[in-house]
Amino acid sequence: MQKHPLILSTQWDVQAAAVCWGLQKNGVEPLWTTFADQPYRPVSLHSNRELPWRLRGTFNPEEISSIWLHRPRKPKHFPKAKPCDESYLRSEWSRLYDNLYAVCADFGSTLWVNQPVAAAQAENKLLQLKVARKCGLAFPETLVSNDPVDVRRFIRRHGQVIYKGFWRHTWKDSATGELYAQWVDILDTGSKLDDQVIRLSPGTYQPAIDKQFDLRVTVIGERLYTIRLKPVDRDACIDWRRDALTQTIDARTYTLPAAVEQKIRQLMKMLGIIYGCIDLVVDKAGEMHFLEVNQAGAFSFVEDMVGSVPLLHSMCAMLKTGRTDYSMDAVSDISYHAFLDSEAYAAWQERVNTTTDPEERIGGVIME
Amino acid sequence: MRAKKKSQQKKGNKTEEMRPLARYLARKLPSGALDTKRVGPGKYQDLKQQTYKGLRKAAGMFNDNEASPTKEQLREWKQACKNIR
Repeated sequence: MQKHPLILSTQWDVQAAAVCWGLQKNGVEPLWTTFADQPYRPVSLHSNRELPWRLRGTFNPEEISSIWLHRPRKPKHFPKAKPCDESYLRSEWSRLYDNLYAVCADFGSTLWVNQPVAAAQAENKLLQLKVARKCGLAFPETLVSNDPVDVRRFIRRHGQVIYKGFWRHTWKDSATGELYAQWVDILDTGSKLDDQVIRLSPGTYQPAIDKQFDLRVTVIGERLYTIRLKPVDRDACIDWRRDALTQTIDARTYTLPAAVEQKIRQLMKMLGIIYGCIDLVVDKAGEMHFLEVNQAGAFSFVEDMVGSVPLLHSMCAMLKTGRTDYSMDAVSDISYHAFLDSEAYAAWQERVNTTTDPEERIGGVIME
Repeated sequence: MRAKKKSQQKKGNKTEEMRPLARYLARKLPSGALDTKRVGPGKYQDLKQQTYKGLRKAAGMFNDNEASPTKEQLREWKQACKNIR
């Protein structure tokens, strides 16, 4: 029986499109689905005193070689349902999938990228830092608070601190259509902070690091790929994600010290994840600081910046073999640049641009 | 952060609606951000990268592993990025 990698992601996910293209080029037919647009897919779970949970309906676990869980959305729209029941239905379907994910180990030894329960836990920023500390990874002193007294004391002590929320949101002004987003910002003793606003907004505060450059480590199974990021025409930026929108970032491969690599492997193991994107910074004294790990982070832009880093190739090899110790020879002739030049990319662009609501596409937009 | 007006602070207006700190710190995104594809951390990275890629291809620009592009190449790229917004 031929086994298929299963990709659980939205249709707007360009990385999923790239992985499908890469696998198909290598004779593997992946299944790509999201639960969001198919609320009435059959799904049955059955167990008794002798048997663990068995799943039937959505997919047959025996036909699956690996599962890439890349932030699939849950069913949101329910055709023909009475509108007043929609919140009930959303809640029930959401809980169904959460329950299903929690017992996914019962469905067989399929490789999950990442295991759903571990993935959900790994999203926890406090837990990440707790594990980082256990692994010996240095990270900036951190305050998570909505207490104005603590926040002000922290700012006074460190002079300049960065503020970030737990998740990045986008606001859209419904009158003008303008979009606003917050990444990471520096606050200092001169910042006009209102106590009520601080109380309203729990957030993370860390001393601003005098950076040399940023590092992005992408872990795909047992392989690690690191690139160094730095603005071309000035000193390191506060947040290269934001600066990449308007400035040119110089990205190149970087070799991590063996000791740091070992600690990152330990961090991944302790978090129970096999794929993750880790942000590190190197300060002017050469010390490395762990910021966070994103268990469902993007790899496509990394390979687009530095084409010699074979992230798409690695991901396809891991999903095809269903092993973290995959051989790079498991697939061939795959690169993200080649995907961007392919008809598959053009077709994907056409599909997402013409058939979907752009606000649905990025999700998480707050209308104001 | 946008500070509250002094007059409102003096009055101690308790009924004023507050916004989250992140919203006060949020910056305006260039127009068209939702019209492009989600590639990386920037939602409209794709357009920039397509332009970058096209320029690189057309002008036989630097390889991926090479050192930084020249100032002229960067100017050209930045200009092209501005044009497509």
